[in-house]
Amino acid sequence: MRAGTAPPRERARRRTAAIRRSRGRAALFILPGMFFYIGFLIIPLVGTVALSFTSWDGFSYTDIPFNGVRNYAGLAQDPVFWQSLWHNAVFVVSSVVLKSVLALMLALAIRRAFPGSGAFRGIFVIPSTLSLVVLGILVKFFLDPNNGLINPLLRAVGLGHFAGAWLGDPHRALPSMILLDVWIGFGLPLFVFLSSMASLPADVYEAARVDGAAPWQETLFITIPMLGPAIRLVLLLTAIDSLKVFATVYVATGGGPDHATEVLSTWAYFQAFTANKVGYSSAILTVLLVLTLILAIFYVRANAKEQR
Amino acid sequence: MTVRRQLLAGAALTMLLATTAACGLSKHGGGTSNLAVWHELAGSGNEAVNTLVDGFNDKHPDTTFTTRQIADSEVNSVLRTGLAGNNPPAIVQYEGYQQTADYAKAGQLTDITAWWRKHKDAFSFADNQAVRDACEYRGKMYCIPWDMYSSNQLFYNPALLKKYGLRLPATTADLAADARKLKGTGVNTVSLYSSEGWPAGQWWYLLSVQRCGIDRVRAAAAQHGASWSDPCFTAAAKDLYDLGRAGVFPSGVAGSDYNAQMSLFLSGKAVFMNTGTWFYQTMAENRPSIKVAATPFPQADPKHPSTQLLGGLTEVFGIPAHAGNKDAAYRFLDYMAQRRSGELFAKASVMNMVKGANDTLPATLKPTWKTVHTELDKPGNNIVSYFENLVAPGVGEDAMYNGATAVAAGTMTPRQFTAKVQAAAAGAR
Repeated sequence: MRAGTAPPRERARRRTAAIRRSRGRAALFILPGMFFYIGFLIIPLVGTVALSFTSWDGFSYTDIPFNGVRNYAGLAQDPVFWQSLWHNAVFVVSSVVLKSVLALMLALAIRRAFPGSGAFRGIFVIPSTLSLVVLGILVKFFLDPNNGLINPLLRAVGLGHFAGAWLGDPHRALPSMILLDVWIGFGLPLFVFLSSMASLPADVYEAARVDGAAPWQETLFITIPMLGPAIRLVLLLTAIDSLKVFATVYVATGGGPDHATEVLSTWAYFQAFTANKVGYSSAILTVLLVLTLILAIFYVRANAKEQR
Repeated sequence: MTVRRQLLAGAALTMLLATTAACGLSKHGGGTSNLAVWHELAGSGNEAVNTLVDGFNDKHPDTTFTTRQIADSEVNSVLRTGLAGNNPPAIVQYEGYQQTADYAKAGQLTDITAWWRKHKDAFSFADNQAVRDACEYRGKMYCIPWDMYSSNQLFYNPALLKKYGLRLPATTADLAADARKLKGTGVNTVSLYSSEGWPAGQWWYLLSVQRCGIDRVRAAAAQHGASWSDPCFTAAAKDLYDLGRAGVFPSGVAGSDYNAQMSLFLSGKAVFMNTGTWFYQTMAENRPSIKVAATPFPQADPKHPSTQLLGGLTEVFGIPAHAGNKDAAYRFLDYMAQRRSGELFAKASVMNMVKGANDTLPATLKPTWKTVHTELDKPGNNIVSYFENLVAPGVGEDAMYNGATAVAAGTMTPRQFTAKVQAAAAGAR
């Protein structure tokens, strides 16, 4: 008997069996992913939050003393924590604005194919494919006050008064790290904008042209508003990316000079692996986690509103 | 049925992945072999450890030790995870002092006091507190003091000294005078880059030992009878600050690291450089293109010269408390306590504490050992370890490192610095 001629109850039974089979197959594919997701993300996250209520020094798994909210009270008294939090905020705002604006401007400039446009796109994305540790080492080398490349270059082009200690100068170190982060991270937003622009409906532009819109008006009143979801995505991704900055800062400055580039992740690392305060470090990371979650919630809610 | 089979297959695949991941972790963690020596020695030190282990394995065919070299930047995290885990190595090399206290307090090291009593005659100055400090915690020994380094020297480039008509600085004022002569030549007086903190930290330690004396340093470290904000420590910080203001150091002291410091000196762009005796090892491994000599570290106050030394036994060997085969581990320590074992390290340009081993030191390092020997021979405390080894990490590796670097760079005043160190020390109690 073919499916189409089966009685309704039989058809329903077969449909249910098919759904079960497909769920089983889905589970088969999801299980390995879930294993890694739970094992390497959920458990460490829950563990970090749990450890933030202990004074664990990391030396013994059998002695993890609970200390209530003392770590959080300690954070409130810790000037370096507040300094790091401020640096994170400066980092996020500057980096998000610079990355988004730069990526949007470049995307607008190279969205239409021209000779060599493919090469340009490739070049812009190269920094985000490189190892952060390698980039940290390279930037340290380039900005070295005595043997580096930047200072002689500045002097050679008549900008010698800008030459200086860069990463050794408390006033220049953080801006230098932010610029490095922008350089590394603007490639991804650029591609998000380019792909979003490629999917914008052509008829809207045609209608605008018929109405006599100038190119800048097209950009301002059509392209940018229609890129709204992409812009929100870029803002969130770049904000989260900048919030969890670690490798480049750790390698290039180690949080120095005298905490001038200290961010929450490097301060947490110092507390855990140098000061032997894993519980305190976990409290710092929990603050970072909460900040990231707030950003994610903002995005999800904005996205849900958009879809409604 | 099919669904169940698929679920079972999925579960099996997940288990397989889990097992593979676990095996992978274990293998890469270097923890599969209980009879391992974990260490952070690089270059010729690493070769000395390998030769030591090979020698032991040849003598003990029933036991095979392996080695695992851990990068300096990872050693804290790897070692701690390894010790806290269930499969630590049989022998572990670490940096002694505060680490001995931390590991011993956490129950992660074997008390080897009985072994030490039996074998201490094989070691130089075994009863000297400066030596015991590296391994002692609450009157018990937890490791063997192995290699000694000291920092009371200023390395210099004789060719540059001659070219610019400079004289070897007996005092810090002489260094400032040399800086005036070198102004505008493109050559720096002293190479100092301290983004890691310790290179500038050592300048302050050396000046503090001169200004305050070792007993006061130890008292301040213990926060008992002295404070880091005492005038002598601030005076030492002022010496450092004044050297920076006099242009003795290159610009951007905090802007680069120890490698850049060595590179500036070895490329002939700086006349002097202060660092520890480990620099002899560096030079033995990579022969520099310039001639390098050493002179004693200058005195801050020539009216009250100090002979006390800054140095430490920052390479020590112990047995983890949860090591599987302690008999083999003790046999390994027995083997280490032999003169030829120590000689392996002395030949690699490190002052070794096994008696007689330093007879094989390279000629360049023998005068330093003689000085160390003289000071250890005197009654009382005449050698003190690098201060970060005497205090909690938040004091040494944060307040002292960052502050001394900022003082040398001129971005922090001496008084602010010592007040900050004292506040950190008081907070760490």
